[in-house]
Amino acid sequence: MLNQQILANLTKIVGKENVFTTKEDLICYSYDSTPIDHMPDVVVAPVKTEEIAAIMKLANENRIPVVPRGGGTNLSGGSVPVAGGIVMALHRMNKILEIDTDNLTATAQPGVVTAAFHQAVEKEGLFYPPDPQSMFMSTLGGNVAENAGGPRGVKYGVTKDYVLGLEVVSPNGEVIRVGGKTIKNVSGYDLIRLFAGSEGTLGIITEITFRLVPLPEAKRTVLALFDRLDDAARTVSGIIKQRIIPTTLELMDQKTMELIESFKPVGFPLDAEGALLIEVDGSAGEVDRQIVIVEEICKTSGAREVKVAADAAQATQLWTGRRSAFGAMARNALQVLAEDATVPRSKVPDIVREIQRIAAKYQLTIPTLGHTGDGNMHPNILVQSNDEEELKRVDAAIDEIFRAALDLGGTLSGEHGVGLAKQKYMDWEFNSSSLNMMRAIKKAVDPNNILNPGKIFLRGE
Amino acid sequence: MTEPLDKYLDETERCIRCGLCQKVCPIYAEMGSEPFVARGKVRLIRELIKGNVELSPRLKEILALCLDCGACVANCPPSVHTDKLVLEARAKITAEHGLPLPLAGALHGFLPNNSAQALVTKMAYFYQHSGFQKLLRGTGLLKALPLDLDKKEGLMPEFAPRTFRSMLGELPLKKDGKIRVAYFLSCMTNMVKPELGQAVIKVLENHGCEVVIPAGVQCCGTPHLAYGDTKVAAQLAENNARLLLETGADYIISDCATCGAALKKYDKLVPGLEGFADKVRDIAEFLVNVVNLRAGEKPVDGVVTYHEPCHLGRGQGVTAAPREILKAIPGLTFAEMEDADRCCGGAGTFNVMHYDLSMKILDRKLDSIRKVNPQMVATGCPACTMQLEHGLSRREMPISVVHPVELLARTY
Repeated sequence: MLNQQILANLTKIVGKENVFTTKEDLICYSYDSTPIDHMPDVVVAPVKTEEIAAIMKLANENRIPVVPRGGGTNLSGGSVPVAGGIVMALHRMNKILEIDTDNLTATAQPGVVTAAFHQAVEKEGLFYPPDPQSMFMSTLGGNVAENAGGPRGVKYGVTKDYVLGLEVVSPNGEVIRVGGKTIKNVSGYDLIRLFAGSEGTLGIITEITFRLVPLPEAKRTVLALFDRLDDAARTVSGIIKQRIIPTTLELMDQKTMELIESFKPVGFPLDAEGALLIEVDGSAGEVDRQIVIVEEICKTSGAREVKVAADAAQATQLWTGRRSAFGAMARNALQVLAEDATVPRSKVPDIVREIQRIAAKYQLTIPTLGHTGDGNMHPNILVQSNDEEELKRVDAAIDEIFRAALDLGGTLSGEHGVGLAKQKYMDWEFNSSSLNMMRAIKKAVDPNNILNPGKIFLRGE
Repeated sequence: MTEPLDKYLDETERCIRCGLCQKVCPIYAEMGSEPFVARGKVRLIRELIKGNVELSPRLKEILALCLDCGACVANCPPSVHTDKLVLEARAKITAEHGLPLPLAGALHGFLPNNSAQALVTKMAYFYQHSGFQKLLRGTGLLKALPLDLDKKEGLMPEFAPRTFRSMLGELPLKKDGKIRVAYFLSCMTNMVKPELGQAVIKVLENHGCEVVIPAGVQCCGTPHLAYGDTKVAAQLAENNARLLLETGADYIISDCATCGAALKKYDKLVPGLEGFADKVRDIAEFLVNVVNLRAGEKPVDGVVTYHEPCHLGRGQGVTAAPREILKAIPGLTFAEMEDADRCCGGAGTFNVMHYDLSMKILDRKLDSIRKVNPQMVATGCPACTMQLEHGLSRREMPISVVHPVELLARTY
């Protein structure tokens, strides 16, 4: 597919030192955070929009697949080049172009690491809320393309809620600009929402303008322990019903706490079936008011103990425990399949019960935690072997979890995207007319199907 | 025949590809591309074991860019030992392709040879103090040399007029004490910092120890392991361990983070050394955890910050003890810097082999130091000391680099 002429042209565009063809380099761009892999034919690392436009023109004319890639931390196979071709590594486009303290916006290139962006805007007293678990590695371009979420989604929403403007290179090499610094903008179709979550199938994001909010003055954390997981889950709905929207509202089940304590102990009890870790933020007075109400709701919903973190250090300790959950799971399994089935918030108790039932039915360990305040569950399936019989049970359990989430009025994916991992379930969630409209958009934007082919929809569709 | 590397296949397969190593790898922070982070290297070593890639020039290049700082291992959810994997892969390269000639000379001829060290120290001292160095720098002759030697020459430490080893016979070592300790003489204390050796002895004796110093110990073997020369490393380990054990000491003390970390792993390198590692202590660890740390009464004025050597913090788990020493010194103000445990980019000879990259890594450390604005940086590793001194002088920051024990010695 890639002849010497094309390689020579790529070299002309980005320079010899930014075109990689050795097997060693290709291997390093063949995977993301899922177990799926496929080798690309070449890796290119452009540094500006014009180079990307030239690469896309070349690829389009020669029908070469192109897969944009940020930190490569996808959990759905989004950046795996399943059709080979070009991996476009965007790590050189890592500049924060502007932090506009008058308009409370910031403009950045796609390769900026999310946590570095947080730091930069927080220095100015501003706040960019989306906080995907991978924020220390993931990039802003990847976050927009996957429409990443995170624990703070309960109160603050997800990546798409902060994108005001985009520069995107289309599959045929045109440079598109939509939106800008205005808060309101209803001119034309809302292409920003189309690109946010497009998983690299509609364009290469080359510049992003984000809306920022003032950095909250105060925050406090509560840990509530429950003897029954069901009570914990019901408390989630209870808090929302009381019109309190915490910054984060995380649920952990007994297995999750057990694993955390055996890895990096922070003092979670081993005999509680469930726990809620709740953070509220805002002005100091508002935070104090909310924390009292949250405490009260937890107690009346059956919490056996409610601990309010006395200071920042205690709060940090609790959150460190929560953040080490994935690591704790990884130590106890060959693979951890992190799913992100999401349901309406009132259905949290139902989906928690369903996941437990499914785990028991297929004799699997599925520690469950999640950003439950927004209904986003993370059942983590611990795969213990490459044994075919076990993998069959795993597949069946995943099928059933998605079926359950959809039956409860939910969705396949709250924040990881469809990618390769969930494409076979797409017609469970959408009827054929809905899917056809999505395919029609893809076909109109990318008639030669060169941009991240084989994702979202089943291949051949 | 199974290759020694083959037994690490399972270790490579424990990587869950989460990418958390990207957050902490100092090399990745500069390079930004996947082959240069632990996740990429682990994957490549897996493919090497499986026979899908060869010991190609590109693979060697990738494997060369690892500081062995261990930050990835410490932050890896399943604790994949990337540091060990990289060293094993380098051992395979050396076993099959040999060492590049200049390196082989340094590793086989110079470092293990105590009389060569003495000769070089004399020559280097002459070079640095005779005006010849100024002449070379002034004439631009260094710039004419290949391999940007003009910049690298600044990495060369100030050599001592004579080695510490040559002074051993004249030292008035006390012949009694509650605890008998064997002090392992590191190459850098020997050639560059004999005054550190004197400070260590003074501090140990002030803590009621009888200090014995076997003069025949050689290089600890770390440079050999870093370049994959397991065979010579094992020979050195065997000789050093024998000499240290013959002293009949209760403890074996090191003032060098790297030597200490190496000594603690001798039992893995040489059969029959079970229990050896249990006797080894870093000097700070020994003072705080074994004997009751006692500072003297003479104050040391100023603000000091602490750079945590990779081979002491992550390598030996010694993090609190050096800070305790600094806090115990009267008159001294201790101020913690940001990312104190981040690698300074020195990493043995990494700074010589990859100068520009090493300087970028060092710049981040210097930025952290600048924020604290101290008069002194304390650190317990000679390689870090050389690197930091080079960087501080390059950026004209008037800050000295000292071993915590040197400051402690001033209080008696």
